[in-house]
Formats: sequence, C-alpha cells, structure tokens
Amino acid sequence: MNMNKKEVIIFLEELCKDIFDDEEYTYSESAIRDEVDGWDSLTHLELISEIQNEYSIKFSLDEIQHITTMGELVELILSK
Amino acid sequence: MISFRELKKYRKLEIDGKNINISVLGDCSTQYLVQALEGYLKYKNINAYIYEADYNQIKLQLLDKHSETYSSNPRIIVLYQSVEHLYDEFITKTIGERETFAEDIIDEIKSNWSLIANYSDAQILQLNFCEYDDLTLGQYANKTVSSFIFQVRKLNYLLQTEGSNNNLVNIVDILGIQNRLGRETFFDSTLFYNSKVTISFAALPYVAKAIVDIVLQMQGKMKKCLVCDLDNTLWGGVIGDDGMENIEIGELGQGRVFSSLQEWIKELKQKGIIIAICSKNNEGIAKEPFEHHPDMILHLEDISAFVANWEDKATNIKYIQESLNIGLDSIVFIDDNPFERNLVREMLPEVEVPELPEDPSLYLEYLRSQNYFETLSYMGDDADRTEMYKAEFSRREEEKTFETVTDYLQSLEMVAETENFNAENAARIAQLTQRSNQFNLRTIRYTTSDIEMIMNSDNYLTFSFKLKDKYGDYGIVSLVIVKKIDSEQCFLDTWIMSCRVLKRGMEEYVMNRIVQTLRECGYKILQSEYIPTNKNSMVQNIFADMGFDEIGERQYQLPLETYKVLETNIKEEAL
Repeated sequence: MNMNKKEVIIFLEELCKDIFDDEEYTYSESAIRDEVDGWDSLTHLELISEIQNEYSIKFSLDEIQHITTMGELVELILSK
Repeated sequence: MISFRELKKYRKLEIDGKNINISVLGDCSTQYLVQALEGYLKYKNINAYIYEADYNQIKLQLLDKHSETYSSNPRIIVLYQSVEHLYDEFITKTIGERETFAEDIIDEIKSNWSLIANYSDAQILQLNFCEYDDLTLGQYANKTVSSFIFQVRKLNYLLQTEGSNNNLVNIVDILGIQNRLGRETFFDSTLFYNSKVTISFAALPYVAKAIVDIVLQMQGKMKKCLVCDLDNTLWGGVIGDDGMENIEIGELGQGRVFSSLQEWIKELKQKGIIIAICSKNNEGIAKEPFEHHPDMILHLEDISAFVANWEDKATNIKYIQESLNIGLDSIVFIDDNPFERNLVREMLPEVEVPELPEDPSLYLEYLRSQNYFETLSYMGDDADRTEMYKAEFSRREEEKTFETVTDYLQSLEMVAETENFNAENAARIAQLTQRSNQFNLRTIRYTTSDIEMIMNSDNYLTFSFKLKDKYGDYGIVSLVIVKKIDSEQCFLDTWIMSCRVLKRGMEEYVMNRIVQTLRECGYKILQSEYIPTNKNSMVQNIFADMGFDEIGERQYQLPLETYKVLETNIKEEAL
C-alpha cells in the first residue's frame, strides 16, 4: 500500500488524542508505551483496532505485542 | 450501529438523574464490555454506577454475602460466562463427564442465581453462550453427546428452560448477535490471545445494546404501539392511483415482501403491541384492502386506531397517541417516505422513527435488527390488547353525544372488582408498575419476584382493581400497595392507575375502597408522598382532591376517621 509517513503520523496523532483521552497529545517517534499518558494495554488494543479499520490492514499477535514505541507503530503501518 | 469509540465519548457525558447500580461479573476480561455498557447507557440517557468484579471471580463474589458485588447494592447483576472459558473447562473432563457437562454447568448457574436471590434484590442478566465447535469430530459432533458443540447447544437450551422458571433471570442473547454478525466479526483471535477479550470491538456495541434494551424495560421505557403508513409500507404501490387489484401484496410483484412484513406485524399484535394506521388517503379507499383484498394478512379487527385523511402525519400521530392514551415515546412509526419520517421526527422527537432502507425487501430484517419491542413479560393468550383499545376508541366517539359528563359516565354502566395481589395477577401487576408513567405517585418499579414478596408479606396490604363497562372489559386498571408503619399508621407506597380510565370516577372509587379496608383493619392515618418525574405531573394535585392534608414538601396524610366518602358512578361487582 502506498502510504505517506506524514499522513500516517497526522492520522495517528488525532486518533491518539481521542483514544488516550488527551487533547494535548503530540506525536513523538521515540515515545515508549506505558510512558505515554493514556497508552496502556487497554487503549493499545483499541488503537490497533482503529488503525486496522482505517487502513484495512491486519497486524499479527506477535506484531501487536512487540510494538514498544510510536515510531515502530508507524513503520509497521507503512510496511503493510 | 454506534461504534465503540463513540460509546467511549458518551461515557464521559454528565447526565441528570439518579444512578442505577449494576454489577458485572465475568470469567474473561470485561473492561471493554463495561466501558461499552456505560457508554450505551448514557447514550440512552441512563446514569449508571457499574461495579466490575475482578477477572474470573464469579463464584467467590457470589458466595460471599459481604462481597463488593452485593455491597454496591446492585439493581442488576450481569453474568458473563464465556464460551471460551467453558471450553477450557470442558477439555479437562472425561468422556463420561462430558456427556453430562451441560447439566453440570446449568446446576452451577442455577446455584449462582440462588445466591443472588438470597443476598441481593438484583435482577439477573445472564448472557447465553456463543456456539462454536472445535471440529475435532467434524460434523459427526452433531450426533455425539460428548462433543463440545452438542453440550453448548444443550446448555443454551437448558438456560432457556431454567430461565423460563425464574422471574429474576433475563437472558441476554449474545448468541443471536453472533449469528447475525458472524463468528469472524464477533470474535477477534488476536484480541483474545492478547488479553482474554472474547467480544470484538465491532461486536461490543451490539452486546451493550442487548443489555441496555433490558435495562430500559426495567425503567418502564417500552414500546407499546406500532403506527404504520400504508402505500409502499404495508403494500407495494399507491392504493389511490393503482386501485385495490394492483397493489403489491401476496403473489403480485414484490408482494411477498409486504406479506412477510404484515405477518410480522400481526405477530406483534398478538404479543400485545397496539397496531395503528396513519395514512394520507381517503378513509374509504384506505380501508378497502383490509376489508376485501384476499391476500391481506392484516384486517380491520387487528387495527386499534385507523386514521386516514389529508392532515399532516405529526398531527395524526398525536391524535392516535391521545386517543389511545399512551406515551409518545412508546410509539414506533414506520413510513417509506423520508419526508414524512423527518416531519414526524421534527415535530414529535419522542416518537421512534426507524430509518427504513430504500428497498422494501430489507424493511423486515432492518426492523427486527433494531429490537424495538423488548419486553420483560408475556401474557400468552391474554397479551392481545387490540379489543380493549378498540373499545376505548368507541367510548371516545360516544362521549361526544352526551350533554353532561355525568350522563355519559352513568351510561357506561361501570362495574369494578377489587382483589388482593395473587399468583395469577402478579406478573401483570409487575408489568403495570414497570409500564405506568403518568398516574403513578412514586414510580417505584417492581419485578414479578418483588410483587410476590410483597403479596406474601404481612407488612403490606395490596389491592388490584378491575373495571368493565358496557363496551368491554378494561382488565386491571389500578393497583395500590399500602405498607404498614405501626398499628395506627400506614403508608401509600404505590398507587397506579391506567390513564384510560382517568376522570371516570375510578380515582374516587379506589380511594373509598382503600379507606374502607384500612378502617376495618383499625388504621387511623394513611401517609403518602409524591415523587415527581417528568411524566407524572397529572397526579400532583390528587392528594388534595382525595382529601389528604399536606404536612411537608410533597408529604401528605389522610385522617381515616374523618374521611368523607367520595362520589362515583362506579358500582361494586356483586360477587
């Protein structure tokens, strides 16, 4: 799929604001899961589900479990 | 269907009104389910406090009468035992044990129900089991008693039979949801293996809706009446233009579509839903197919209110609502025409107006999927109330011909009968407490099991009143629950009256009758209270009318010894 990294980041930033319930949220490539406010195991799965719906892609269980930073998540989306 | 993400937004809304306490217990991860449930409740304007038990604590919570589940004082306990967890248990069993697996599980479930009945006042919402097969025996499993699919299906069957014997229990049909959405949509493997979540994000709103549909019934928010347009809704074509021979019903054109819809509506009628017609037509032409078309399923006797004229539909629906004396929010209006739908939505926002699909062949599936007609009880042969509502229409017509109200009331030849609550009428009494919104002093909702408790207790006096007149039998039109305080004082806990009999002397009759009984029992004072809701303002002055003294804000008392018998045209049934 031909996806532009910038567009993915913009989409992700809006989505995270919503799902993490944090209007102030800004994307940071190196931000680590569990250190970002609102990015816990529950919201992680919601985030994944929304991304899968948006881009009509599917992540494997292994991929879902091994995402540790926002940057990795973006790369994973782009690789699909 | 509203999405899980939208439900999470609703969850944050502040809503007026008191909380309903709900406990959710599951043997799988229930956090998302609770979030969806909170969101859907608020989406339907209900505040809830939800206690969510820790993962897989059902038995521990229910056995301990001091557990958080009970101490949160729930009105509702939701029990979700997942099929995935069930399978894990199943495979630890021997072949012999597997053959009676469903019976063993249902015994366990029944013991959960008994614990809840003993330790709380909660109603139980038991989710049934999604069915799937492990396919280790292929389709041969369908005739193998020790197979998983055999036992799960049996378990669902047993849930139905046991549920039908238990008034505390309501079954939430998540299997029905899985059937509609498909297993692939309902269950998300990655979600499950990641965190034991057994309902996908896509399916959660449906499950939340199924639960809330029942909660809404407990709050008296049920649909009672289906108002139908005619042309291109109940038949294909336009009767005024095409003529009776050419409308599509039965074998003509897409007639089967409309026949099926009419069959469904007839079934609704038999289950107690009032059917009304609202059509832009000349009345004679509109009625013709009902009287003479051989393929029509619905006939005039199925219709409680038939309105065909050239007024706008909002005015006509308002007229139907007033004539039948039901709430606007208890009406569902179906019409193929988006203009009419929008007009009614605009003018009467409380009326439920389904956004019917364009293709008539999709109407029925769409209407079924919305589950408008949830209910907590079913009266069997006594459910059909069409005759009663039709009689109501005739009374309204005749009312116009009398000079004075008293003349009219006398002409009705009304006779009342008083009974205590009993095993035969308990379900109907409970239904009335759930459904009555207007003439209802305190709007306390009771379930059948609550009513059974009340009627078997020495702390209460109960009265139910039947009324009939020359047009027909109204059935139970009023009920009263009096709670004893001490040997001289008692409290009017509940007084409900059907709006159909308002201002006919029934208020006076009921009060005379209660006072008579209370005096015979030696009581001196009847206390009461008015609890306002946004629907019961009609009773705010009833206490003054009946001779009560106001003794505090919305607090009243009636000295029984000096009570003057009120005038009424209703006579006592000679037994």
